[in-house]
Amino acid sequence: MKKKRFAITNMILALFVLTVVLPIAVMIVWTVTERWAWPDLVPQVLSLRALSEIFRRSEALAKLFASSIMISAAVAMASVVIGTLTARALVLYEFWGKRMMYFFTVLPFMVPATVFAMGVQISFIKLGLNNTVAGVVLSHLICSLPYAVRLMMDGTAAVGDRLEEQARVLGASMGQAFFRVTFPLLVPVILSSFSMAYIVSFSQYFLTLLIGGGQVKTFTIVMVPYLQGGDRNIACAYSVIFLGITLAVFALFEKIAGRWGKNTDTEFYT
Amino acid sequence: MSLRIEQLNVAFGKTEVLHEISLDIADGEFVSLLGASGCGKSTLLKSIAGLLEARTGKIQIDGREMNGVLPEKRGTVIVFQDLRLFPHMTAGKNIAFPMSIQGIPKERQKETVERLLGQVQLTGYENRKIREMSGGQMQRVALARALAANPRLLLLDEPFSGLDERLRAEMGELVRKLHLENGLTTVLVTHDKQEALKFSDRIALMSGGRMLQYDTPQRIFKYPVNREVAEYFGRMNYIREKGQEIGVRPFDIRIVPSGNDGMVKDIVFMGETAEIRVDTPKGEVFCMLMSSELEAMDMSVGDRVGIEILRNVCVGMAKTEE
Repeated sequence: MKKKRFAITNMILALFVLTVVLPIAVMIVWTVTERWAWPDLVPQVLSLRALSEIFRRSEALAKLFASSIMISAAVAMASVVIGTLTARALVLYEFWGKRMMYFFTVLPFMVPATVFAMGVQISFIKLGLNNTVAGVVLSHLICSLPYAVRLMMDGTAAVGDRLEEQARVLGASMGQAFFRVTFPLLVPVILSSFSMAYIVSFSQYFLTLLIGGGQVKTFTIVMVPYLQGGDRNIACAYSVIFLGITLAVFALFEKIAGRWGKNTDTEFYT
Repeated sequence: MSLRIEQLNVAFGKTEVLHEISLDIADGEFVSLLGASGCGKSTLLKSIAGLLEARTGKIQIDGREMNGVLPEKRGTVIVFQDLRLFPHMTAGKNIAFPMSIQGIPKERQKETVERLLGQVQLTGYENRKIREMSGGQMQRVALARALAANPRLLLLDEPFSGLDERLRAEMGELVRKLHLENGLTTVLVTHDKQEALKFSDRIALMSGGRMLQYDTPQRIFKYPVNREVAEYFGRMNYIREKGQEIGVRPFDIRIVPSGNDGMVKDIVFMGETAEIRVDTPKGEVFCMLMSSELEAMDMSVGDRVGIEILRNVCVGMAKTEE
């Protein structure tokens, strides 16, 4: 009985792995493919055209990487900070209008970005934020914050303020109690909400286009024309390179976070 | 370190949890806050530590007004019921926590941790992870950590409630020992009357957010201010005698086999002791005696016996006569 269940679990796991690995594998093959028509299982014509074209423009590519990653990292960082503070307020404190405030924080979940984008654009034009990187970061925050707040709320509720109370009576100030006790325990959740916010920001097309006005270039902005133009190999080459860089960014962040959570051998990890 | 509380009122929102609490604790005293769960004793502890704000009233530590003083500046350390050990630190790091906050050099921290672990009989457990420890060991670490903060006032919020009876008694002894060895002033919150009677210099009995009585164990047992206090420390009989109702504890009634005051209704063997119910014209009388005495009497249900009141409890009377 137990063995059987084990087999089923393994099968489901294998399926999940397949759904992730297969598209990536296909994408990697496409970077060196010129023609791959149905119903053949292997590409008919291979070439390095897409890769050489991308590397020929390596300076533009580097700039694109930098702006795209910087924007998403900034959005993720801001989301984590704002998310942590908001979650604390919503979970640990009682104040007037708390339910209303919670409703507003998760509102962007319910309203599609295309709906509020117009309003955002008009306001940003008035504020002079349109066509600027800051404007794009701010508009991305609207989409990524609900995720960050939700995740941080669960983390904050799990850790609670009991340990902070204990730290306080043992002589720690409010800040010390947070940074020495709660923060290390929150690191795994912070990591999740950072990743979530990063991905949400990274995959924004409409908002980036509208608020960035084509001046602010991100990965998605550059990708879409290639996909529409049928240049699938170039699009795939971009994707693969970005995939590698994104993984590197995440690994780096996990390493930084790991320094705080070095001793965090708690239920979160097990 | 002395503590003085004057007419303290604490409320959560609109519900008042503590009403007019006044309490005086002298330097070096061991005081128990006794009461059923929900009577406000933990709330009082948190108010003393500054985790809750008082609505009105005064809290003074060593004569200094504590209103508005932050918890970390009060020198009052709580050991909570759920212990609240930091899960991401080893036992040693937990104990060193208050010292690292104070910026004490690492070397001295290490010495103190070793000394405290010795005091709570956990020598060599510095690098143990918290989740690898048993309930009793965690209690000891929590106590050691509280002592490491050099508390002026040690507040214990039912820290032994999760333990089995034997371990509980052992921890109680340990707390009493630490209290004496370190010259602490200690407040123990408990709902266990035995624990309170055994360890305390004085007991504060609370009910419904009010202080019912604050006195030494002997006096609170002998001279309860009202029936509620009397009954908290054990069952009571109320017998009408000479037109006056008197309170008598079950152990203060002697059964006289040759007498004729009533009929034995029930005998329950309890090991060392036995409970006997006697039906009398004045009502049912509940008494307790040692099993050995019962055996010597050779009594059975239905027998006619006499009862003799050895001593009565002066409920609500002036505390002058014995």
